[in-house]
Amino acid sequence: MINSHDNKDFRELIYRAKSGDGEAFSQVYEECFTPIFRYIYLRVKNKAEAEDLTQAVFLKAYQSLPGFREQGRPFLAYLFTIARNAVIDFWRVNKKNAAADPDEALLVTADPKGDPVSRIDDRQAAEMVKQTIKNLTPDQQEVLSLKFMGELSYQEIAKIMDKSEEAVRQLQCRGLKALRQHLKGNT
Amino acid sequence: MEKENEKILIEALELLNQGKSREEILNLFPKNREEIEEIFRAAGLLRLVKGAIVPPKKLLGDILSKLPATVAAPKTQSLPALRLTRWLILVPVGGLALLLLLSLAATQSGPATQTLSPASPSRDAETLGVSVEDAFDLSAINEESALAGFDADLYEFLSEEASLEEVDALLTDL
Repeated sequence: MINSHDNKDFRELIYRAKSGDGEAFSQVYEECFTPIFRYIYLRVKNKAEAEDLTQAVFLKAYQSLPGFREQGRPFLAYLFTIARNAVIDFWRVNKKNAAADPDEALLVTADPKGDPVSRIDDRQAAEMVKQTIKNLTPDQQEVLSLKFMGELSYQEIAKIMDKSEEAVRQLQCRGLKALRQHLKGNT
Repeated sequence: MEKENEKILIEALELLNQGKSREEILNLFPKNREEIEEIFRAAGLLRLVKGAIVPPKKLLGDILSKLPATVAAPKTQSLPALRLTRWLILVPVGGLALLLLLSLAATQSGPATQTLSPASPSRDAETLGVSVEDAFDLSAINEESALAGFDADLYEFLSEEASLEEVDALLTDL
């Protein structure tokens, strides 16, 4: 789904949305909404804030859509750049309240009709990762969020973060290692 | 050594990213098997987190419901603005065009109103407030047709004079 964001159909959709086609814009939103929300949620670790920021990101994207020029950067990467800036601004303002609400649970499980036991396990594991990821460096958190929540390519992440692809791969590797270390320490 | 290990881990993640199976990758790097398994587990957990974070459907609906207002706002604001801009251009241009037409019409009809009829020089002179002589002179200058007629009359007169002279000469000879 996400990988299709670079294809011709999606570009056509963006073109139509840019021309003021409301239906096309809604479709673009629906396609990009979940990865953007996931990314923001993992970065701010707060449901209400994630909702507000997601809303702000999409409204901003809508307002700036007429001026959007692809220039080698797909629309999803453009959205993630807006989302990333929103998260940076959020933390700048909320520096003093940096500790996220520890009681905040993840929103819903992946499969609401699935096995209740595995649902609880998923939730617990996810909550643990959510809390542990805070111990990583900001760049490591960023790369892991963009890679695993946004499902972006190394090339796209490199462009968003203004780093080389090699640096992004290295950050991912070190981030995963650190995450594993922290999780082992917690269990 | 540490850098070498990191290179292998990066390569293993790259292969996983490309869709190779875990077992296949682990078999490629038997010496680093344990370390690779560790980071694969961490990656798996992040995928689990991804699946667990599902945004409320209501949120998308809320955002989309706000869009028409955002979409409509510039449109409803821009239409009168556009109309005003059009009028700002059309009114002066139309005015100029009207003035140009009026001045053209005035130029064309001007000589006709100023042209004085030789048949009634005194009435025309009275209208313009000038003497009869001036009025007549003016009509003579302005009326090309009258000048042409004058030329024809003069030519006819001179021709008649010439013929009279011929008659006189003939009579003298007699």
